[in-house]
Amino acid sequence: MPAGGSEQYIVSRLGSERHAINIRDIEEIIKMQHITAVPNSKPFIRGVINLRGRIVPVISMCRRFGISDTPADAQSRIVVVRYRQEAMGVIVDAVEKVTSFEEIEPPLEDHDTVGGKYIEGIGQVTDGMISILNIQRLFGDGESYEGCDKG
Amino acid sequence: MNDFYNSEYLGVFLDEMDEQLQCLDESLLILENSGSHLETIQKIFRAAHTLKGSSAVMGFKQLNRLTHQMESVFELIRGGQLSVANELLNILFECIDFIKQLRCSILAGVMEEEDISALMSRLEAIKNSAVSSPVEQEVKPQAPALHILFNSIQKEKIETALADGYEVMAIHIHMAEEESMKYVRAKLVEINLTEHGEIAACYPELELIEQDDLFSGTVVYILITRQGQQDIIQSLKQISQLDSIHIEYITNLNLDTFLEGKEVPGIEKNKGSIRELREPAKAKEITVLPESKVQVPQTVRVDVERLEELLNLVGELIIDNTRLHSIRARLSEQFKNHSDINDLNDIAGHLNTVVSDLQEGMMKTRMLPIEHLFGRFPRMMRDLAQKSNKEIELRIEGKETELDRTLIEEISDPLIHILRNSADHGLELPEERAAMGKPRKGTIVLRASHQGNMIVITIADDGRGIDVEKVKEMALRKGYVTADELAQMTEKELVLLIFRSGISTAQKVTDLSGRGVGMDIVKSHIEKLNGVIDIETTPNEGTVFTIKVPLTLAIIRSLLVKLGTSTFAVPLVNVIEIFRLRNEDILTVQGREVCKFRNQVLPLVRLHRKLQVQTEGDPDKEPLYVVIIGLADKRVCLVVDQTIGNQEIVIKSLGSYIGNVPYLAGATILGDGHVAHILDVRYIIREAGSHYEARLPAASEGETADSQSEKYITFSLSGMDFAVPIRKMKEIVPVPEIHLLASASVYVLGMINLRGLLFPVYDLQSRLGMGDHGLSSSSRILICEVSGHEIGVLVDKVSKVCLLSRAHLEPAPEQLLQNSELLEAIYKDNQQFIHLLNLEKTLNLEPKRKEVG
Repeated sequence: MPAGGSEQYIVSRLGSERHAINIRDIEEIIKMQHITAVPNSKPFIRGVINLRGRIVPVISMCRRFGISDTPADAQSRIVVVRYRQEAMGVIVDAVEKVTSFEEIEPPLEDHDTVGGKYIEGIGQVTDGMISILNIQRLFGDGESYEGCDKG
Repeated sequence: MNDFYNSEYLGVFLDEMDEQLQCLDESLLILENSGSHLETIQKIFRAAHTLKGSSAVMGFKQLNRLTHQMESVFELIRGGQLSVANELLNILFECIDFIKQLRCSILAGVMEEEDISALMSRLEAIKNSAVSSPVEQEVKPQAPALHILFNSIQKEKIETALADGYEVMAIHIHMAEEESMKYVRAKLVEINLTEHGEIAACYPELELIEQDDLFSGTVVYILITRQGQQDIIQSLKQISQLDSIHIEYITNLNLDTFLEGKEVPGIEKNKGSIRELREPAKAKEITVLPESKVQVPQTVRVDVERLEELLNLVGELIIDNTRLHSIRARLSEQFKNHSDINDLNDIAGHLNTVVSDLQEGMMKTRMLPIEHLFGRFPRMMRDLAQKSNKEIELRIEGKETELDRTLIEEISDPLIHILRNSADHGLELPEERAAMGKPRKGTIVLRASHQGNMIVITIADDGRGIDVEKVKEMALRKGYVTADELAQMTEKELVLLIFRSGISTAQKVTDLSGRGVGMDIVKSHIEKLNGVIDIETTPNEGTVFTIKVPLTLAIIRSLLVKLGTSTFAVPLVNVIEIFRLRNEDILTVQGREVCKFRNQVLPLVRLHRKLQVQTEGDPDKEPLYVVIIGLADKRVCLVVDQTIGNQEIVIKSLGSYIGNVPYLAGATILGDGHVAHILDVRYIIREAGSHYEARLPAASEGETADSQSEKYITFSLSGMDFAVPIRKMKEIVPVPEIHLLASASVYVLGMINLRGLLFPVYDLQSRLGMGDHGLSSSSRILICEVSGHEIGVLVDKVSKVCLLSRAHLEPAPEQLLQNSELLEAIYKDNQQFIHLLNLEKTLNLEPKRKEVG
C-alpha cells in the first residue's frame, strides 16, 4: 500500500460520496456530451463517445456501484482514463479538485459497501476521508456489482 | 549465416523475388503457348539474372546456384541451342515452384535452404543434351561474345562522372551485315559521339576491329555526357549503314555488373527481327532495357501500416469536414448578411474539394491493379489442365481494374476455389466436349470491372453447368432441407444450396476438389468482405459466378437509417432495396414474421427490440419502411423508422473493451459528431436464419395464376392507366435529383444517380405525346430493363401490381393511333382500361414514325 505523499489525485463526486483517481491514470477530463448507447453490451457501459475522432467507451460509475444513474447536469464530467492502452471514459457527477494524501489506509474489509471492491485504499484529508479508486478493477472484466442491473 | 537475414533488405529482396517469379511464370507460359520469341526469352533471362544477382547479395547460396543453372539453360534457349520442349518447361516450372517455396519458408523465418541437387542435376542433364546435339548450322564461325570490362581507371572516371551529375551510357551499335568498312563506320560513330561527350571506353577497341575477321558488327561505346538518349540517337541516325542503336544507362547500381564483365547480348542472330521493327517506325529502334531508368515511373515502397495511419487521418478529416458543413449551414442561416459568412462558405467549399481529392488520392495509393492477383492464375490453370487431362483456355479481362490491396489478398482464396471448381467440375473432358459439339478446349473467362463503388468479378465457364438434381439429392441427404422445402424452392434457390457445407456434385474426391468444402469457404470469405455472390447456371452451357465486393474496407458508403432516436448505418453494398410495407402484407410463418415482396417471402426483422430502442410514435403506423439487406445469396427485410440518406462513413471499431456486440459491426462518427453504429448485416442475416426464400404457393394469393395471365405493374400518366410486365421491372424509386444531360434525345430527362449507378430517365409523357404535368409527391421513377439496358421512366403515380388475363386483352386500334407500335395491347375489364406499353418500341432512341392519315 503506498504510503501517500507526493502522488496526486483527482477528487470526483458521485452523489454525496467522494472518490479519488490517481492522476497518472487520467488522460483528460471532458464535459458531458452525447453518448451513443451500445445495445446488448454490458449493463454498466453507458455507450460510446466521439473523442476527437476516436471512439471511446464510457462506463457509468453509478451503475458500476449498483446505484441508479444520477441525471446529467452542468457539473457532470467524463473522466477519460487509460486502461490497457485504450482510452475509457467514466461518468462522475462532478470533479472537485486535485489533492494529495498524507496517509492512505487500507480499504475496509467489508465488501458489502457500495462499490467496495473497486476501492484501493482510503485517503485521509483534513475534512474527512476519500476512497481511492482502482481503475484496473473498475474497468476490469470481473463481475459487476450484483445490484447494478437495478440501476 | 549472414548478416542480411535480419536486415531491412530482406523485405525488399523478398518483394523483388516475388515480382521476378511472377514474371518468370508469365513468360514461361507465353513460351509454352506461343513458342519462343526473342522478347520473351530476353525477359525470362533478365528475371533469372536478377534473381541470381540478388540471391548472391543476400547470401542464399543454393538459390544462387539454382538460378545460375536456370540462367544458363535460358542462355541456351536464347542461343537457339535448345528447343523449348514440354519436359524442359516442366523442369523450369518446378524450379520456380521450388524458389516460391523457399520464399515462403524465408518469410516464415526458416533460413535453411533446402536441397537443390535433384533439380540441379536435371537442369544439368538438359544443358548437356543441348551441347551434344547439333542444333543450328552456323554459316560462319561465331564471333566471340563481347565482354565489357572496366579497368580501375575507367571505373573511377565513370564514378566521378556519375557523382558530378553526368549521364553515363553504354551505346550498343550494330552495323549492317553488308557494310564492308566497319572500322570506318565505327570511327565515324566515335567522332559523332565525341561531339556529345567523352568516350570513356569502347568494346572492342577500334584498332582491333580492322584486323578481326570475326568482328560481329557490334560495338559498345561507354559515353559520359550531359545529353539525353533521344538526342544521341537522333545524331547517330545521320550515319548510314547502322543496323540498330541501343542505349543502356549505367548508374551506380549496375556499374558493378559491368565491372564483373558483362556480356553484350548477341544481337547477331536476331537481326532479322530487328530489321523488321526498324522499317515501319524509326523510333522503335530504341529498345529500353529494364536497367535504364528512363520510362519506368518512379516508385517508392511504403509500409502499408503507414498508409493505413494516413488513411485514418483522412477519415477524421472527412468527419470534421462534414461537421464543418453542418455548422456552416447553420451559421449562414443565422448571419445571412454578415460579410464573413461568404468567406466561410468559400473556405468550406474549397476545403471540401481538397478533402475529397485527398481521400481519393489516399485510396488510390492503396489500390493495386487486380493483375497482381490474376497474374497467378494462368499458371495455376496450366497445372490444373495437366492434372485433369483437360484443355483449358483462361481468358482474363479487365486486369487493370484497381482495388484495395487488402482486398486483393482477401479475395484470392475464393477466386482460387471457384476457378478450381470450374476447371475440375465445370469443364468436361475434351472427348465429352467434342461429343457434344463443343470445342475441345474449354474456356474460362475471368473478368473484373468497376460498378459504382464496387468491384465485380465474374468467372464464367462453358462447361456442363451445375447439376441441380445432384445438389438437391446431396442437400436432402445431408439433412439441410426437407423434401417439402425442396419442392417449394426455385431453380435458383436450389443452385444456391451449393454454398452449404458438404455439398458437392463431383463424382469423386480428387486432388483438385470435390470435398464440398470449397463453396462453403468461398461464401464465408465473400461475406467477410461485405460482398455478394451469385450463380447463374445453364445445363451444358456453363456456369457464371458473380462476386461483388466493395472497393475498400476502411471507408464505405452506407445507408443511414433511424430507429427511434438513434441513427444506424447499413453498408450500401448490402442494401438491395427500400420499400414501404403495409401491415396486411406481414404474415407469421412458424412463429416468425415474414413479409411478401414481389412474390417472395422474406424474413422480417424488427430491429427495435433487438437493439433496445423505442419506436417513435405509433408502433402500428403505416406504412412501415423496410430495407432489404442482402449478403451473398440471402435476403432479409429490416423494419426501420426512417431512412435518412446515404453517406460515406469511416469504419471504426468499438474497441476491445466493448468487444463484439450482437447486431453491430462497428461504429462511425456522423456529421453532427455523434457516434452511430454500423449494423452487422452478416449477424442479422445469419440470425434471421432463412437460407432460402420460399415462394408463396400460388393459391395463397387468392388469385389463380393461370398460364394465360401475366403480372403487370400499373401506373398512371396524365390520368390514364398504363401497364408494363413486372418481369421487366427492377425497382421503383422516388424521384431523386435529375441531372440534365447535354445533347440528349428530347425524350431523355437526364440521368439519375442511384447508389452510385447512373440511369437515364425517359419522359414517357412527351414520348406519348401528352402534356407535361410536372413532378408531384407521387411521381416515381421505374427502373426497368429494356432491350438489355437498365433505364428509368418517369411516371405520375404507381398504382399496383396485378394479374392481367390475356382473355381481356385487345389489340390496339391501329387506325386511331399516331404510333400504334408503342402500345402492345389494351386491357379492358369492367371499369378498367389499361394501356399495355411496349417499352422496347417506346424507348427506341430513333423511333420510327408511322404516319397515318
